[in-house]
Order: sequence, then C-alpha cells, then structure tokens
Amino acid sequence: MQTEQLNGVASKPAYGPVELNPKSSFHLFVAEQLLPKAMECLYDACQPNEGRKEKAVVEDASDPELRNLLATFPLNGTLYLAGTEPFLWRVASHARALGLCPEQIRLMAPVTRERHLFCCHCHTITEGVTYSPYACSGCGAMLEVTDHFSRLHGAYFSFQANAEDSADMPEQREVN
Amino acid sequence: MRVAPKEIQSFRDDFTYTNSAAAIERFPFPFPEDEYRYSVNIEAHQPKGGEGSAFEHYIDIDEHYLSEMAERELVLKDMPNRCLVMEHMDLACWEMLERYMVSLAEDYPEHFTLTRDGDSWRWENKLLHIDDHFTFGDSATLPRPPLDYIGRQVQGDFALMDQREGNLFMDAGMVTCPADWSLAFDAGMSFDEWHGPVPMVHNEGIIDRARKYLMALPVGQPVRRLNWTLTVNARMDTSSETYNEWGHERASITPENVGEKIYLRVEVQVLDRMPRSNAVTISIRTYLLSLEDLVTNKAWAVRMHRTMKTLPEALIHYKGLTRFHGMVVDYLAQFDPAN
Repeated sequence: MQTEQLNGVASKPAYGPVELNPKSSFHLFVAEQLLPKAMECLYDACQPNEGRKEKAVVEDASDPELRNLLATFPLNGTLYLAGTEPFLWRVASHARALGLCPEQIRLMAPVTRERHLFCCHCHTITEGVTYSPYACSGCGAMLEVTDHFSRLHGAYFSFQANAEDSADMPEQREVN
Repeated sequence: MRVAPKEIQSFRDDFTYTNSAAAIERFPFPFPEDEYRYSVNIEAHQPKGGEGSAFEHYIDIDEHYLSEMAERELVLKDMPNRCLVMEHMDLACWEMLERYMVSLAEDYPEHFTLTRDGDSWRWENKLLHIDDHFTFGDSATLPRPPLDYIGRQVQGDFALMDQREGNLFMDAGMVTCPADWSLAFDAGMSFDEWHGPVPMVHNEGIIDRARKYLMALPVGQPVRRLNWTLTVNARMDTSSETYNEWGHERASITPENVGEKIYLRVEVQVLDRMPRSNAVTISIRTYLLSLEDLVTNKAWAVRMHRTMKTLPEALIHYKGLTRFHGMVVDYLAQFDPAN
C-alpha cells in the first residue's frame, strides 16, 4: 500500500502510479463501479506467462464473495483496487485482515475527490464531501475538513469549525 | 514530604481544582532551556528528584488521585468508547494490569495491596474501596475487562501499541484527558499516522527516529518524555470529542484573567515494553498548573516567559494558542528581569 507522504499531514494517503507486479502468478483487479480506464489498460497489459488474471466489479467493499476470494488468495497474488477512497481502504483493510501483506495490495488513485468525513463530536461519517466547512449528517455541526486520514474509517478527521467563536465561521473552500 | 490524595475537586463546570504548595513544588516543569525546540526528549524512566518527586515511582499517585478518578468516571459514563480494545490486544492489557498492580502495591503499600497465589489474585485499592478476587488472564472474573478495570484506578491516559510490519499500531487505549485528539478516530493507526497532524516533526525526521527508538525498546527498561500545551481552565477532558463544548473558552481570556485561567498542561509520557505480547504501553499522565501558581517559582516564571516568546508560529497554531498567546507572553514579561 502506498503510504508515503508528499507534504502536509502525514496520514493523508499519497497515490502513485500503479504498476503490474511481474512476479505474481495471480492478478485480481477489483473496481467499485465500472472498471476505470486506467485499470482497463492495466488489465489489458497484464499478460501473465503463467497463472491467471481476473477482473470484478464489487459495489460493496464487504462483499462476501470477494471476502472468500481474499481468504484463499495465493501468497504471490496481487490485488489491484479502483474506486472511491473509502472503498479502497475498506477492501484493503479486509484484505490485510485476511492475510494479504501490504506489498500484495495496489491502490489506484481514487476516482473522485469526494471525501468521507469523520465527525469527532458524534462519530458519524458524512459522505460525498467536496468543500469545507461541511454540515455533519449526524449532529448538524459545520465541520472543518482536515487532511488527517484514518485507513480504518476510510475517512478524514473533522471538527466544529466555529467552536471557539460562533460568529467566526471560516469561508467555504474546496478540498482536494 | 509525600503528597496524600485529597478530597474530590472538579475539572469542569465550577472548576474547584487547586494545587497545594507541595503540589506546585513537585510540578514536572518541562522546559530545560530558554528557547523552545522540538526534540526526541526521551530519558530512562528512573527515579529522579528524591522522595515526593513526581518521578519518584513508576506510577505517580498524587493529591489529585480521587478527583481524576471521579472525572474519568464522568467521561466514561457519557462516552464508553473512550476506552477501546481490539481483540488481539487482550494479552497486552493483562500485562499492563499486572505491571501497574505490582508497582502500585510495591510503591504505595498504604493504599494498594496485591496478593497472588498462582493465577488467583486479590487486589485491594483502599483509596477507591475496591477489594476484588479474580483469575489472572480471565476477563470474566473481573468486574470489567482488564484495561477498563485498571484504567479507572490509575491517573493518566493509556494507549497500547501493537508492534508488527516495522511499525507500532495504536490498537487499544483509555483516553479521557487528552490534549485535543480522539482515540475513536486514531485507533488502529500506525505511529506515523497518528502523529500525522503534528507540524515540523516530519521533515525534521523526529517521528521516524522516535518510532525506531521505541521499536527497539527492551523489556524492563521503560523510558519517559514530557510534552506540554496550554489549557484554558483546569479542564482535564480537552478531547476532540468535547472541543465543541470547551473551544469557546479560548476566546474568554483577557489580560486581567490570563494568570488565573491559563494552565500549563504537562504530560509525563511513560513507554514500556510488555514481555509476552511485545506491545508497548504508553501512559500519558497530565499535570495542570495555573500561570498564577507557576510564577510563584521565579526561575520557572523567567523560563516560561522566554520559551513562550520564542515559540514558533506553527506550534502556536497547532497547539491552539493563537487567541491568547500574546497575552500569556505579556503577562509573563513582568516576571522576567531581562525585560
């Protein structure tokens, strides 16, 4: 998994270009919706001399069939993931729990820049966030979006933007 | 003279918390030089400062014991998930319980007694009127799971880190008095990830060095480091969870009340390797001292002024001091003859 940091907050994932693993005997390409073009290209370029390749669209990161597949994943297999950021990390987290090592999991850059937000006050996760501050779908607080990211929650940390002075609401900005 | 636990005072609402003269004297003042800088300021967790010092024992029990335990009960009653334990951390929690019970019973025999007969243990905590018999390693025989049980009897927050894949992961903890972070959010993160928001340290390689050092920490050689921030009012629970309740207090500081309302908040962090699980436990013990009380020590007043004056902008912002940092420096200036 790509976890190195380019700049800013160290927990924000950085996604480099994904390459095929030439040493693998099994290549599994999993996308949340239609395979994005980058993944189709990768799939087409994948011509394993020995072994196999497969592609699948799995809308639910906790899909039982996918879990079964991961539970019996070959030791030299490679898992390629495409989709939204929470999907990538949720599948990656299941894969890790089922015994894959970090080198076996390759994440393509998220297909949208929408974020999931974790509200530190009520612990609700709000989906589809593209700007800050953003209203919490749980407690309604206007949340300041940060770059502090939890792989477990697949979400970014956020807190009430005007908690120190209710009249002091930050100007709306887009988040990338 | 050793400080004895006193009656319950509050860390919220009416804030009746006070420090006695003896508590002020033993306060773990954190600044070793006039100019503030980040460092991996780790030292062996050995006794220091003699009888009554905050570093006399492995665990420091002081006059605020009953107050802090009462405050912890309030927080956990409201938010039980301030204590989180992933399944694979059970052994580490038992080891921590053992480490704490053994050292408390040795260091404070007047307050704590541990009687062991194989796995049949009896634990007496006279301060909280607890007397329990249980089987070591069997959570069903304790009133609560091991971390939840011992955590309610020891001052400070606790985090337990699992060591694997060349990193440390925060997979268990009890966190009711943090300096603005959330265990529920940070749970499961690697050492680098949960320090993600800390400015300056990443480029300077500090987090990397600290992680490597901790991963090589041997059994039986605990270490400690100090951390600090400033808190408005004697509020223990400055968690992210309750920031929407206490954040506005940062805007309540004036030149007239700054000495009374701003507290230097010091964390004595003790890191220790558990022998069987190989986990690293961190206890984060928080001490609060108002500036008013701090300046009764002339050397501290001078140093505090110089440290605050040279604090980098990024840290002022990160620690949440922006709204009152100038007033703190101005207040302290009157105690520094160099001004």
